[in-house]
Amino acid sequence: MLENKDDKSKYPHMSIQTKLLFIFLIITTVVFVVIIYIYFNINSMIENIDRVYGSNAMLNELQNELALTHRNLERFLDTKDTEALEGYFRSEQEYSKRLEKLNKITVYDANMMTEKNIYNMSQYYLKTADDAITAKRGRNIVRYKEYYEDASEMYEYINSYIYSLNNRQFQSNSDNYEILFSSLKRSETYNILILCIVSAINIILMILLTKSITNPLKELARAADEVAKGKLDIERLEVVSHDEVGIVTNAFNQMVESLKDYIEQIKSNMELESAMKERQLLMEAHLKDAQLKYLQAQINPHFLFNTLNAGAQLAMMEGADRTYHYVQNVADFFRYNVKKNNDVVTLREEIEMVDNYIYIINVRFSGDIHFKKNIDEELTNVQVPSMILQPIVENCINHGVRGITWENLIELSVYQERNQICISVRDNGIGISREKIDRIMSNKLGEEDLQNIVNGVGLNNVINRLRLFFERDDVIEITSAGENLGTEVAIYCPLEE
Amino acid sequence: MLDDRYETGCMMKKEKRTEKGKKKNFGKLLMLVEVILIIAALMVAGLIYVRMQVAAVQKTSTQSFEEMKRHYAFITTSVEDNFRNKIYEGAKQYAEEEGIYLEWFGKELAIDYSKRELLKMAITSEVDGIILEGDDSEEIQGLIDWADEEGIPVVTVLTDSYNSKRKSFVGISNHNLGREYGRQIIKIANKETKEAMLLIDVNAEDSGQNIILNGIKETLANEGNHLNIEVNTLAISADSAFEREEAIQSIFLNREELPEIIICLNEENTISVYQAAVDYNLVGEINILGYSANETILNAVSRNVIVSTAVVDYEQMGIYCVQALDEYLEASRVNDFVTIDVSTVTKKNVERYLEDAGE
Repeated sequence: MLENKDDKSKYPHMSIQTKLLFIFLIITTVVFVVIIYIYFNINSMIENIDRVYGSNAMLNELQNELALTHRNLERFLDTKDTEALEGYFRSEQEYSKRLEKLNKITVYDANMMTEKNIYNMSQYYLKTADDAITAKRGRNIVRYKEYYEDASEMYEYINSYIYSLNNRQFQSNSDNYEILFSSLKRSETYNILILCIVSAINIILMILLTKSITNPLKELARAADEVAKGKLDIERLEVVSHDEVGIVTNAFNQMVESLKDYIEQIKSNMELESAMKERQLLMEAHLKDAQLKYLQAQINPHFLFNTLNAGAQLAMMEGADRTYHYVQNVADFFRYNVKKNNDVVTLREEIEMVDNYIYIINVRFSGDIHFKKNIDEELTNVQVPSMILQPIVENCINHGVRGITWENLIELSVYQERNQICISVRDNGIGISREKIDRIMSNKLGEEDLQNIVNGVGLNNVINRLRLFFERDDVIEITSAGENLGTEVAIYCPLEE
Repeated sequence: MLDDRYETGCMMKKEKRTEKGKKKNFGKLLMLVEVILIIAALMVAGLIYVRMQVAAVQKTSTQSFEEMKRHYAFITTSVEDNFRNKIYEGAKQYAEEEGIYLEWFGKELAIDYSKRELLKMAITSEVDGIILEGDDSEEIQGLIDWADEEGIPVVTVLTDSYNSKRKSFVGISNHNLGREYGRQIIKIANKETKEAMLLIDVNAEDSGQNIILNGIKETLANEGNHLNIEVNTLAISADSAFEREEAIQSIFLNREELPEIIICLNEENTISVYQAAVDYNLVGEINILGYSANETILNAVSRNVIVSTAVVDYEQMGIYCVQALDEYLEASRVNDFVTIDVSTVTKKNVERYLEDAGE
């Protein structure tokens, strides 16, 4: 969220519509301005070209007006026609008006100077013509003829001047026209070139700006395609702009993240579950193994302990109390095995089982085994796997104290050590070597060790089951102070709350 | 712990990658911006070029001209001769420097007008001054007087209209020219030399040729009295196109009467005589004293076919004409006569003139 805010401040929010509008506005404005500029340039050029032959037209009109004036003068002098006189005055006025457009000052240009000459000669011509008319009206025949001849002469000169000026101007105007026209043509080419350039710029701008819109979309599409194919570990998409695409990109990023998290969670749950199942299966397998061993050893325990019970009752009837007790203990021992073969038992029951076993063994070995118990009764309700203590005690008798020359002692203690219960079985027998302990603890007992197993349930089995049950490796500890200094097997189980 | 490290490593990689990407993007953007800038610059240059074209067009249609102080007319008998052209060029160049517009009347017109007509045009055109190749005709004198009435000063050049109200005459000192020819004759001639022939132009209406003849005779009398030479004149008419050429050829046809020295007073005669001397294989036997200095004549001088030729600085003459008009208009008075000295080109100094002619 915080990151998003940051992004927003960097890129102002602009919707795709606004962006597109912006692009089209820029492009249209550029094209419009260029076209207007070109239009005005061409227009002003064409106007100039239109004016090129203006001077020729003016001179032609001047010449026509002069011809008309002279014709009217001739007509009047010929016929004394008042209409001709009016015509003369009209054309004279018109001619004078046109004359005013000519150059009258001395400048450095041949054509302009010719204009000046025409102007001055025309003034003289008009004056002479006027004089001729006045003389005609005054019936001064000699004078008007003289004036007329003079005027005619001047008319010829002026005509000649106008003609040559017209010629020269036409020539230079043609040259100008040529120049103007070619420059107009050139301009046209340039204008087309400029329009092409503007179009190119516009296309580039368009591509650039639309790319800024479509590129994130393409990127998003590619990423979505990858996610759809199952590839979740893609890079987080960069949010370039904060338009609609930006919002979708953000949402997509979040979606991919949460998808990843979810899948991760499911994976770990499944792993946990399968580990648990595996443990349970192992436990069951070991238990089954233990039971199988018992069943192999005691083919029909029910029959056996029923038979033993019958023996016990017989002993009681005969008054042999000790025999009765013995048989009764043996029966109890086997019944325990049959009854408590598949489940968890309390520590108390396990201790009773050991008691039975010791009694039986002592009867067998005529009270040789000295067994001592230090039991904190409060701790005996703790749940333990069945058939763990008896194999340990049996192990002590078979491997620890058998054949020793001094008085044997097996001590079973249950006490609390810090936050766990310690079940300790200690003998004062021949002890056990370090390597052997390591072998036992790491389940690497050789064949010769295993042959000595009594009752089929080995220490191995006990250790494995304890580890599985309490779900830790350091559940059992075997220690020996040295040769002939005895062995201690201690089981640590957690204190139940 | 390990996982953490791995993750941070990954992140660093990612950052690097994005940074690289950014750099790449930035480079691309920079290039694009450059391309756009170049294209935009091209466009602007194009627009400016078009604008300049428009401006140039406007300039051609609305010209402005330098205003001049005065307007002088230049009127000659003919508008085609080389030396008249030189006078005009000299005068025009000087006039322009002085802010005066000099117009050769008749030069630009489609019809060939006579001197009288041109003079009338100039007067009615109200020019500020007229440079005129004068003559002794009454018609011209009348027009000069009319111009004077209108307040237009007239300066004659080459030939004078002596009796008119012209303000000044700029011309060759014919007496000096005659004396120069005389000196050249004395150089060439010996006691056996009998005749020197002066070709004079029938159509020339002034007394300039007589003055030249007088100058020759005077010099011969003063400085060459040891010689028994006779100076004759032969009038050559140039009315029709080939008449002059025929007249000159005829001199050479009669070998018995061929003069030892021929003196020409214009360019055409000089060239014709030189050509005839070459054609009749008389180079070395006849001495030609020429006039004017075009390339043909100068080459002939350098090859010794023409002994010497008289050269007039026509450009200087033109300048004197403008100066005379200026002087009259500014000071209301001017010298009646302005004379130009004549230089003689011989084999000794012909190289310098050839160089000038070559330029």
